[in-house]
Amino acid sequence: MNRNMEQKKIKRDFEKLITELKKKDGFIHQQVKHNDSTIHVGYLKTSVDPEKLQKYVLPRIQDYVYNDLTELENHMPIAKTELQNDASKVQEKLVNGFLFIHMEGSSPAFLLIPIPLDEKRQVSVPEVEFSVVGPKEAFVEDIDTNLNLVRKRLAIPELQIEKLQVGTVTKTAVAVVSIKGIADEENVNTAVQRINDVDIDQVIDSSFVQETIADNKNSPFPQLLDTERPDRIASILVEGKVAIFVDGSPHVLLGPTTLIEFFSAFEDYFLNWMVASAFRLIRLIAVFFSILITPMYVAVLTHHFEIVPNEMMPTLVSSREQVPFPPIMEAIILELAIELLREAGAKLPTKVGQTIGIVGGIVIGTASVEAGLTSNVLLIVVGIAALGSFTTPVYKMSNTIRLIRFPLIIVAHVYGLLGLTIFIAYIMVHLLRLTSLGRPFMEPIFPFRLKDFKDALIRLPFDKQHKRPYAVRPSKVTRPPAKDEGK
Amino acid sequence: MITLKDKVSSFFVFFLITAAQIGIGVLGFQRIISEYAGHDAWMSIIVAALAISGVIWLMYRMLGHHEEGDIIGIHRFTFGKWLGGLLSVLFAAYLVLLATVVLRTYVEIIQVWMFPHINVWALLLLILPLVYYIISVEFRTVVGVCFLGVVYPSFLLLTLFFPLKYAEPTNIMPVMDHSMIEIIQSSSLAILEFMGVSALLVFYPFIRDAAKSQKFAQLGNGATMLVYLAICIVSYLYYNQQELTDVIWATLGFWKIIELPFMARFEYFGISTLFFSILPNIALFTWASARTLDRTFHAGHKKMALLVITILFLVCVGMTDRMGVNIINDVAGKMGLVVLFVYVPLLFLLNVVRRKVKKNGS
Repeated sequence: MNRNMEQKKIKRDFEKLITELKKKDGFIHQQVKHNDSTIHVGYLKTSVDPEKLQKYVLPRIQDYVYNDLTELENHMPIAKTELQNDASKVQEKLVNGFLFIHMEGSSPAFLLIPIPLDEKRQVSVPEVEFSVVGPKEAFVEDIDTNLNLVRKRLAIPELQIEKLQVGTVTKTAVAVVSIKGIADEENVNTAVQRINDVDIDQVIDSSFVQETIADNKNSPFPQLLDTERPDRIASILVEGKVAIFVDGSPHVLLGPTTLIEFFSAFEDYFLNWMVASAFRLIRLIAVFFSILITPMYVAVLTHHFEIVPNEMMPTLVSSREQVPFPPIMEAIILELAIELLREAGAKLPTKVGQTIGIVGGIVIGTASVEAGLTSNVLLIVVGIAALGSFTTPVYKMSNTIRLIRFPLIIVAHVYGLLGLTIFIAYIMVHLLRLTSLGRPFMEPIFPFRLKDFKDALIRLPFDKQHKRPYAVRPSKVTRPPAKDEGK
Repeated sequence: MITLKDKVSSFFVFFLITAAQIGIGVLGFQRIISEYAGHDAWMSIIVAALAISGVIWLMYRMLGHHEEGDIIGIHRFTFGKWLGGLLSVLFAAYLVLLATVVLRTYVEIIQVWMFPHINVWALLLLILPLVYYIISVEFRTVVGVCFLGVVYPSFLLLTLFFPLKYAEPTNIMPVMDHSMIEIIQSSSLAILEFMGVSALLVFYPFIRDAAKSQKFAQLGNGATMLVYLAICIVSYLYYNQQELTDVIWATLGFWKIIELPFMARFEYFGISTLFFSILPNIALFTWASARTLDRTFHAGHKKMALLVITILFLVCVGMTDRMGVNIINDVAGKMGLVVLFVYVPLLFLLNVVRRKVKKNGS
């Protein structure tokens, strides 16, 4: 009697479910006779893998002998199947790539089989952080593939992965990865805590997380480094830092980071230490040059032309003779032109982009000098500044460098070198106050730690770096001793 | 109240002391201190530094005895709530005066050397928000500014090699041509350049292992002495005493003769760079003043910082001519002498007596 009541309720629920689902696009409902009862199979065409469906599920429904769904479940060569009696749960599962089997008169009534269709990009070569030597793998959009790429390099039980979910609508999977015993628990907790506190509805890329968990959201400087290289992530995990993976994003965040780290390319670690140090220094100088050279030009020509040595004066004067604008106008026009070129180049397909470079660089540049709209000295200056900003290995940081040039040009116009110095002091104080996951951003410059300079402005040989960077407060400061030391 | 996170390692005391002492003075102290001892005045710097070193020792003896370990606590303990509070306010005013001297003199130099027609208030509106940005939240930021304010402008010391080409050793001969009294008289003028050390009375509790940091404070004082000594000797070698009376900013005079392949007229660059050297002065003094007021009235650090900066702005704008700048320099120098060599020893003695009395009483 009781059993009959239950069966009736299930039948009612099932009919309701079918009518509901029929409204959905791509819902497929098949009926098969088996023994004396009818088997219903239902799924969404767009979210299940047709290969798995044909190969594993359908043959077993027809060919095998079973009396109820529990027996059928034992025949299925697929993990994580579920038995369900509640029809209302079924619909939700269907969206996630499940297929349901309903057998009339059976209890439990539904068997749910996960055969989701995974659209994945193949692991490819890093494009943003390309290096000539070293590994050639880059992260893809799928979080499991990404975690696997790191796990391959760090096949140790201490690797701890904490899975979280963010975004009230998107429910994106986020993983906080660190090495137990090396990473400071406080850093891991800070990261987990902040990700849990994220209260936005969509997390489409790691940049969303990067911005919402930043220590200071009103800062032009990125406070977490993003990379597309699994080798880099493996390396920073061993140093004791924390990595944050976001599903759907080929960029993995890492922290706590420092200002200097943004200017160290991972390629530095594949080259001889002397070569790597030299190039790292050149890169840093290039960045300073890139920020300061145009404002300096404006400051000197507007207020302190006495600074220009006598031998250089004629060159400067003759180049500016024809120009009808004050230096500030000239500089801003040219800088904007370069920004336009860059934006245009970035938005166009690669092949067309090259043409833009030629048109912009050569044609506009030469023509504007010949027309007497800008001086050719400034053209050189702006060109060098643009080149300098391209040497920054992290794209987000190079954007920041592009941006802070403009206020500098304006203060240089108003107060000359003095204005420049004051504005640089503003930036300096801002950087002093910044933190990354609660750790100082300017380390090792301030707080000054001589030990951490081994891998900051320059990179010393690996065997000279016995200690992990203190900036991240690793639990184990000393790297494991060499093999023969244990004897 | 002050957590371990707010404290800085004792090694930074070196930079705090040096940054507080070296400031605007480096540009023109040579003429001022030569008033009594003439070409022997460089010895007065050593005398002054030694005297300051004694004051630092005294301060550490006094501060180490108190849990809170700053001058406000000592005032309250020694003089009670009302008189102690009043003295703390006076001390805060003295710190604001120091900041004013530095800022106004720097603005004066900018008016004379770079922008004769600059609007003082407009320039201050550019600088003072920066000071507020430094002092409003954490002491750590102030320390950072002090650190960079010592390290970054230190390359300017290299410019001392340029005037050596024209050095005239007879200018400082014969050595010890003046009496000890004259040298000590001159050193009383040189104290103005070392006065920044008073900030120690306020930031002491922010130092980790504060009691053990005295060696860094003494080293900082020593470093300051070496810098002044080097500048002073080079100046006396380059200028003779006659010329020295005519130049107001002797150090800026050095920069005028520097010619580099890419830069003539180094002084524009030098004066701008010097901003990094005077910024720690202003930041540290205003921070210390705001903290003293906050500890006395419990009105919130940010509000007090704002108040101090407003006072600084009004005083600097109000002072329009060279005479005013000279007067506050003189006043600050005399006040500094009184504070460091009369008030601090007196406070030390009274504090010892008070502690004894309290001990016997209980």
